[in-house]
Amino acid sequence: MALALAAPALAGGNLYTRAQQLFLDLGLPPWIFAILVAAVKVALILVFILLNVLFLIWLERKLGGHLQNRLGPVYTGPFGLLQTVADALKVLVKEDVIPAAADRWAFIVAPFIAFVPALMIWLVVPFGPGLQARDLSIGVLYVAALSGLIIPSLLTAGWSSGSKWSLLGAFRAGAQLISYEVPLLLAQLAVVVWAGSLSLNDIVRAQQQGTWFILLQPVGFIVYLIAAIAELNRTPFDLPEAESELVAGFNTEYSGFRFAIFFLTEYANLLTSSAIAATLFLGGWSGPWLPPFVWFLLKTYVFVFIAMWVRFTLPRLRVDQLMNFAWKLLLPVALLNVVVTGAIVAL
Amino acid sequence: MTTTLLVFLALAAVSLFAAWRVVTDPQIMHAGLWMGLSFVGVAGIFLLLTAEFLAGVQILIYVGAITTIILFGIMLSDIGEVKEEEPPLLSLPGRAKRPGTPVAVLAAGAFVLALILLYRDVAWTSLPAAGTLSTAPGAGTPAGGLWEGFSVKLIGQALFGEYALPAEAASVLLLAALLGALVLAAREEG
Repeated sequence: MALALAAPALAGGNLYTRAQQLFLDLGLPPWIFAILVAAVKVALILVFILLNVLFLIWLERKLGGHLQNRLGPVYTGPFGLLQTVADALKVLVKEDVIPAAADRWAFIVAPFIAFVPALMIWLVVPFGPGLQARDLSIGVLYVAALSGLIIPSLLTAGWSSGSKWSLLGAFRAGAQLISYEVPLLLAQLAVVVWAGSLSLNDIVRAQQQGTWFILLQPVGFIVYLIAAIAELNRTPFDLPEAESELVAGFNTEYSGFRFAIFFLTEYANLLTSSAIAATLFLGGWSGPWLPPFVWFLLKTYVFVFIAMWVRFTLPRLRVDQLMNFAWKLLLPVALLNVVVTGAIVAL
Repeated sequence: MTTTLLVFLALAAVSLFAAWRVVTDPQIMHAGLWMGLSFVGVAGIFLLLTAEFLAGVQILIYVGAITTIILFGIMLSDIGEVKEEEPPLLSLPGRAKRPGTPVAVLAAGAFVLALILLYRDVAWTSLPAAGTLSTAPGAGTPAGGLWEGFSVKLIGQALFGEYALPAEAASVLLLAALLGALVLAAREEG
């Protein structure tokens, strides 16, 4: 956390200009400085995501335990806080099994097709004023494009495993993610229309000047919430990994390090969806008294909490319910929301 | 040799190699994945030309949607590997060829010709101010600001202003294709 809090100084403050001056005084070409700054930014983002994922996995178990009248992890460290560390160590020392029936090449590549874009999204997430690796003018589109890459990854993983559980899980994941991506993007589109910009930073500033978009876009917010939980393959939408029928879905054959990559991606995506929701609907880093970065984290964890609460409360849907809900209810509502928003903005 | 040129060459090499593998890989699922990589390379070239919006759309639609649909289709249809006795579409001269090869070569040639004509015809607009674009030879990392965000606005204004009618016609065409696919699929089920 201390690392992330030190970032504003790196991003735009005195330290940045002083370091730049130092480099120029040393007679080094400016591109070395540019590469170093980029590397520092990427490292900070990576540390932020990994620390949060470690915490998220623990939180999921602890919160899930207490929501279901259990205790969750208690033995490893205070409040079981070191449970994730123990799990990570266990997973990393396991044998790396590649099934004989697997398509080796695709099996190895598949986890990374999901993992790399999941990290790349954080390039545009605004942690605070000036605390953003890069304010892309196509921010929302960039996020949408990269988060869509999880679908080919899951399909590749399920197909290359050479197992019927994996294949069926991949089919379900593909159908579900394609279906729920449409209302998800439409909900984001309504926010973009209202803010008049695709840049995430501009969207936060628009909410700073007006009100939070959750008040102006209540329908869009609910659509986003439901579609995002479905995109994350979480209960009640966890049909791709329904353990009672599919063993573990697309990642049945994955073990050790490769499984850890999928697991890490899943929680990184939970964090990403929450951060994007906080940015689009809850005013991002803006807020009184507390530092912006703290506001950003608090708002992000509101969504994390909702997603976990839903997961440990609701039962799993059936496949037909899932599809009917997406195409016959969620999509028309999201479309109507965009049309109404457009009409209001035009007037 | 500038950095921009180096990056362009790397991206072009990746795109071309992937495209070559698409048509030569006997495992059809691998061919689909290579196609996705080729699209990513092209998106990188768009980024290099500061057409961020186009790059984003390229990833969203071509990699996220079209590649996905193709992989989905391959998984459903159980084609697997292209059989040995069937010669590849593109093969070295002197070896067995498919009957469809001349058609493929003609179609590809016509497409290249159309692209060249288009390239010669279009009046390429110059930059708003000299030095703001990172692709200019010798320019370092892009400073951001002036040029960034320009292309989204321009494309939006063009699509919903001057070219509103063609854009709408294209969307109606897509809608018709969608409904047509639906009708065909429903009929097959009986």
